[in-house]
Parts: sequence; C-alpha cells; structure tokens
Amino acid sequence: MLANTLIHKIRPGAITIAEDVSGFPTLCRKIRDGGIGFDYRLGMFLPDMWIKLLKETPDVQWSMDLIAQSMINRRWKEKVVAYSESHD
Amino acid sequence: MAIQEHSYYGSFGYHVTGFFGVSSRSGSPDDFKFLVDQAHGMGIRIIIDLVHSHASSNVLDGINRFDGTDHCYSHAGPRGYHSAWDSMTFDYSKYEVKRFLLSNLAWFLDVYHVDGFRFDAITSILYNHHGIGMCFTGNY
Repeated sequence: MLANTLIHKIRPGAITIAEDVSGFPTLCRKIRDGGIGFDYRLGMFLPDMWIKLLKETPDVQWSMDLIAQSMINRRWKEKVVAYSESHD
Repeated sequence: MAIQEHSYYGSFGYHVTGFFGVSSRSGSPDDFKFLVDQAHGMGIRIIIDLVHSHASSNVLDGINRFDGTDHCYSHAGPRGYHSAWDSMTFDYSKYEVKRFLLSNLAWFLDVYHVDGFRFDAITSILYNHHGIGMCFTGNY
C-alpha cells in the first residue's frame, strides 16, 4: 500500500502489476476502498494453460470452454494481465 | 525477467544483490536510460520487473548481514530465510527496510523514468508462511 501510494504520487499514470498465486482478495482495489492498490494482477494460470495445451493436446482437441473459462476467471472488476510466455 | 543487479545468472535476476543498479551484464546505467528514452520517443511505456519480496543471501556483494548481524534488512534466524528460493526475506516492519524499498521505487521512477513495476512474488510478501508448500487451488 505504501509502495502503490508512493508510485502513483510520483507518477500518477504509472502502472503497478502484482504477481500473486494466492488469489488474494482486494489486491487491485483502491486503497481508499480498503484494497492494496495495485492496478493489475498477473494472470498466473494462463501461461501454464497455453504451454500445457501446446505440449500435450493436438489442436483439434483444444477445449474452447477451458480456454474461455481460464481467461474470464477473475475477481469482479479486477484488471488482469494475460500473458503467454513465462520463465516459470 | 528481473533487471536489478544480481550475481547469480541462473536466478533469472531474482536473487538481487544490488537493488539500485541495473544488471551490468546488459550494459551501463546510461545505456538503460537511453533505452527508456528511445522507447518513450516511440510511444512505448516501460514497466520493469521489481524484486522486493526477497534478497540474495550473498554476504560479500549482497545486503545480507550488511551490518554484521543476521537481521539487518531481514528477520533474524530461520524466519529471515526463504528455504524454497535460497534467499533472504525482508522484515517489512523495520523502518529502514521500508525506507530502503520505497526509495528504491522512487529511484527507478526519478532516475530511470520507468512507467511502472511488475512486483515479484507478492504472495511471499502477503503471508507469513510466504506460500512455501502451500496450495491455493481447490474446492471453495
């Protein structure tokens, strides 16, 4: 919260992104609303999903439902950075 | 990938030894400033990976045991050591730790003109157990 406050005070348009695997509630809610104040959450499951699909599943068997559900599975109003490549 | 100065290349830059520097493997501080300026000139914003969740356990070139004790910036004893990452965990209740990390943010904004940060391993910062051996998925 201190970090997010300081960053946005120095540079109002700055972007902060949180890497969290626990799904911590309020992570990206405003500090004045009781949140921690990050702008975005990293969509941690998405690179795992893509690499698993690419490695293990032929294209014709890709489940559109799995892909769609994975991409929309997020906390209400929380902005998520979707990425496809990760060193993890 | 993290760009702060680090000795151990195999850590992908996550075992930070010098928090205020950019990795000398990639060039000089002026080189990075030039990169940011060029990107800004093309309308590209720069968000850097920032590691405030832990620090390299190195003593000679890192901040571990910086004052000779095992709890300068970290917790004392086992609590100050992240077993899964072989690195030191910060004691965020310490005034000087907050000053150190917040001034680190201001430094990258003021000196390097970056436009934001991707904070590494927030999970380890949020929980006393650091997420070690924890599973956060399942049936709720």
